[in-house]
Amino acid sequence: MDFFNEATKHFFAACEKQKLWLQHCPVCQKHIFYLRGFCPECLGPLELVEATGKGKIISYTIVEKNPMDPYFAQITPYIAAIVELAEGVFMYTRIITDETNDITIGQDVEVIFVKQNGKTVPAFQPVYQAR
Amino acid sequence: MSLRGKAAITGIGETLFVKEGEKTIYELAAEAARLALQDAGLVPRDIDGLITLGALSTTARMNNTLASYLGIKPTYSAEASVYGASGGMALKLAAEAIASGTARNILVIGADVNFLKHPSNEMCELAEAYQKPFIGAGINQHYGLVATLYDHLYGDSSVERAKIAVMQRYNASFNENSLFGHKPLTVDDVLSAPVICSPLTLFEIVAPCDGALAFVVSKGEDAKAITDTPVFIDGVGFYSSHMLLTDADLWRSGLVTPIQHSAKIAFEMAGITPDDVDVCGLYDCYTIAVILTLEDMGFCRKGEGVRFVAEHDLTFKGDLPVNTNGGQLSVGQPGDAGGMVNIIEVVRQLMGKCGERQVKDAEIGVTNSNGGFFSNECTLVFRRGA
Ligand SMILES: [Zn+2]
Repeated sequence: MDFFNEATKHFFAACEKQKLWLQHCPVCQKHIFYLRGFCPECLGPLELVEATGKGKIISYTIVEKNPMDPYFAQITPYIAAIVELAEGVFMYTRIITDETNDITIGQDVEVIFVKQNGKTVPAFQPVYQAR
Repeated sequence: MSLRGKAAITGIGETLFVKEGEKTIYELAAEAARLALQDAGLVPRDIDGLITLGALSTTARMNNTLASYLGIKPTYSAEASVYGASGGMALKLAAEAIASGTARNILVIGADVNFLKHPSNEMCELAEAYQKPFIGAGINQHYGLVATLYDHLYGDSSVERAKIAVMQRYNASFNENSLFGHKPLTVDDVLSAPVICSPLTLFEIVAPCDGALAFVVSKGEDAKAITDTPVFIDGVGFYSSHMLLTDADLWRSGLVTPIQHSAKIAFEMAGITPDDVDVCGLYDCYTIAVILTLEDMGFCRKGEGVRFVAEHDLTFKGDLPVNTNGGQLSVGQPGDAGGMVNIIEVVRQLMGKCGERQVKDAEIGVTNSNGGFFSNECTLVFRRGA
């Protein structure tokens, strides 16, 4: 069983097409992530919406060893992060960059899609402001 | 309803903690139960309630097998399943069951075998979907994420985090039943150890082990007839704010964890403040957890945990003894029973049975158990009955 609920199955199918889907409650006017069967505040139906793909880093950690995950153990070191999307929702993600030492909390990032352990998932890369 | 004084711990037991042993989880659980019963001077037919903890290495619902194995026919049977908070939660459930009159003597048992070597087939579907494909399975990443933000907001905590591991290791050097008590540890050792998930190094992270712990919880008014050293449960508080760390409120609150809520509930019930506390058992899966717990329990303000640790001696000889058996960082973590490692030592202190590492005149003790990633928090307040 590799999905949590029906909406989650659609989320990963969209990732394969390089699209990042969130949910939105038209009544509460709020975005929802992870994907649910109904709004956890008003219990009403949720609509799928495509994210802008913009976000910022809430925090990060450089994973040097991961004994709990055979796939990720092979790709260390990697940057695990929590990113807040422009829509106000948080997700776990990797930060993909050649400049690991330049990563900072609050940094702007944008979505890219990567294949990890056979599955296409969103990851994020730094956006550097033009000076 | 206040539970203050309605229930008391009348017996405790712990097995040897070993990195990987030959005993099954049921053998370990039963051995801890026997030791706790003998400590209380009770036999199985005196027990009418049983609470076990969900284990990481095996199927759930151990309470059913253990009732049979131990010859108990309970009027109350339950499983606490809030991950690392389960040890606190099980004692909270026991106090509530006793206060309600549904049972008189409840056996609370936590056990596990090394879950890295004996992983359960049980999985968490939510984390399978929304954590594992994104950042990999595992717990360490989460505490690295929290520690990175802590340092960003409040300044470098690395030396004081190391000091926590070192002070607990000193405590463990007086505790033969610890995985690492025989190995001295310095701040430099911690700082120069391999980084696992930045900024956390190897010695800031618990090691899983085999082991079991058990408590007999009795009706408060019976306690002094059962034992000369009862320890009363005066306050209990639980609060859960999220499952995945992505849903945590703490990102928007400057890292205020649900401990602030669970501690407030428990402290108010017991009628105490942090100034009244003589000894602490604070969940220490990672060093950073101890700093956040000290802050959110109110021993210092948010962001002042590092200064607090720098200015105080947390060993059993110090001004605020914390994890005087060495905590999980030095004793080892028997899965979700790990929280009981912190709790049993506080109870033992209040029973006056800590030998060389006894805190003089310890009367009020507090514990906190943390499940998940500051997801589930359970705070308990204990009072010496003798
Ligand atoms: Zn809604």
